Amino acid sequence: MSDTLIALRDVARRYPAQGGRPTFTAVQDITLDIAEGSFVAVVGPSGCGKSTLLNMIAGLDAPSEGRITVAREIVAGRLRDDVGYLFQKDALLPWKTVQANVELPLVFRRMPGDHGRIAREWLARVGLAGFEGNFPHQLSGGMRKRVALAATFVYGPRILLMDEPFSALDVQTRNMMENELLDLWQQNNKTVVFVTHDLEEAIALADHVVVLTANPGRVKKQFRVTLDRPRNVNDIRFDDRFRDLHAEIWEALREEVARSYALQRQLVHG
Amino acid sequence: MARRWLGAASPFLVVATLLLAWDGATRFGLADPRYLSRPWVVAALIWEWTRSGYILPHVAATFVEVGLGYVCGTVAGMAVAFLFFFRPRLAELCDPLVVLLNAAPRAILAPFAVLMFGIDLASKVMLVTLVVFTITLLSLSAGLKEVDRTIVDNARVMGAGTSDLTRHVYLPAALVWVVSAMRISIGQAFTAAIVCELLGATKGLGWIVAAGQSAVKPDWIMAGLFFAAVIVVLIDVAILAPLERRGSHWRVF
Repeated sequence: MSDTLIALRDVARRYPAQGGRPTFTAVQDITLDIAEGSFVAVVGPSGCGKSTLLNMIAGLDAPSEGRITVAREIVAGRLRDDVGYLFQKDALLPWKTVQANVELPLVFRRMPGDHGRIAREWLARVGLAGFEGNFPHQLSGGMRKRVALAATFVYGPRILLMDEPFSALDVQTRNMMENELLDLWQQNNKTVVFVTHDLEEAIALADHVVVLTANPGRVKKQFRVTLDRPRNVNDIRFDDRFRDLHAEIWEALREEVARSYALQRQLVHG
Repeated sequence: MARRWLGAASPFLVVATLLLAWDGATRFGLADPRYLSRPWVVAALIWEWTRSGYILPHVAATFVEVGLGYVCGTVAGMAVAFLFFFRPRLAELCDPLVVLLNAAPRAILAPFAVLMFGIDLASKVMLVTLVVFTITLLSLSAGLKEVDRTIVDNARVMGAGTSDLTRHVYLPAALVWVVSAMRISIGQAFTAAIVCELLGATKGLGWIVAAGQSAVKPDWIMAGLFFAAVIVVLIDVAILAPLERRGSHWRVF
């Protein structure tokens, strides 16, 4: 078994009361170990603090209680330079070309080497050779995600945080992107934390699936996914072991989805 | 088919109707041509001024006042908007002042400007600067707050520091807002310069209008206003509108 790279100990994130709203607890009692080189999926109903968790690991947000360490160094609201983050929303700079967008992290990090060449190589690797001069708004949603993927891989982060990166794509594009992500991950030995509300996606991609409870998010249960690699996300859904796992994890998740739904109804109807 | 022709021609028809109404009113005693002049008289004057080049130094004077103030106001507005954005405490402190600057009718400051800076270039440039500065500051301050959080977070994760963020994220995003502020403020900038010229000047379109008033020559006032309006529309159509269109796909929401 490989070493733990990311460790969370009794982590909670509370947002202070504001304007008559009581203190809001996004997540609490989160204790989690993520091994170097593993692919971990975090699933849970909407509003259970999945994104908050990623933001804290990235250092964009700091835990109110508990401790997060990456490679034995404490993360507390300070950004690390070995983390890549793929957001759910488009985060490319609309006023820069595809090529310039992919070069940007190299510029920010003052990395040595021929930025233009490195960026072109990564664009070719995600299948976008020939689109270097285009602007993001001229590309489809799937292509923009590829650019974001290239811009993340280009500076070689050790950890990849992904916040429902493919949720806005149509099913075919999405499956293609998932397969490409698996390829990239296996070639580059990254540690991936992948947040999604889609259980099938989680099982198809990950080694471990962590189920969070409805708000406030706690770790409800963890599952190991022992399906063989390399995987093809299109075929693996028909595997018997996939179906068994799906049934088993859904058993844990279903209750939380129902609770989250009830909570939201309460909010709406007072 | 006929409907389409009518649609394309209708704006001109409206203008033609108004001109005819103006002419008719002065002809049939509804309005006094001594105070309202007549369209053909004004048109003849406009042509005469253009042909002889009489209007040129006046247009140039107003143009220079607006141009200088416009550049100063835009640059100062941008600088202060960024300062406020990165120093929110300072912004809070200055907030009442900004509100006052925005709410007060700025043309009222024209007599002040003339008193302090004289009847030459300086007073007009000061007032135009103030007007453009306020509009730029308010528009850009609102714009900077709307820059997409995700884009900023993404750039930070990729290693951007404050100066990188300013250069690659905030400044390009701000340009869209600056251009739209420039569109709003061009008309007001001319108003400011002309109001200042009305109060005290030796040349400029405002001086023409003021001269027309004191000599009871309404055709002078009308022709002066015509040149001012044409210049503003030309600047907007030829420069600012295309600039805004070019930047519109940058808009980050």
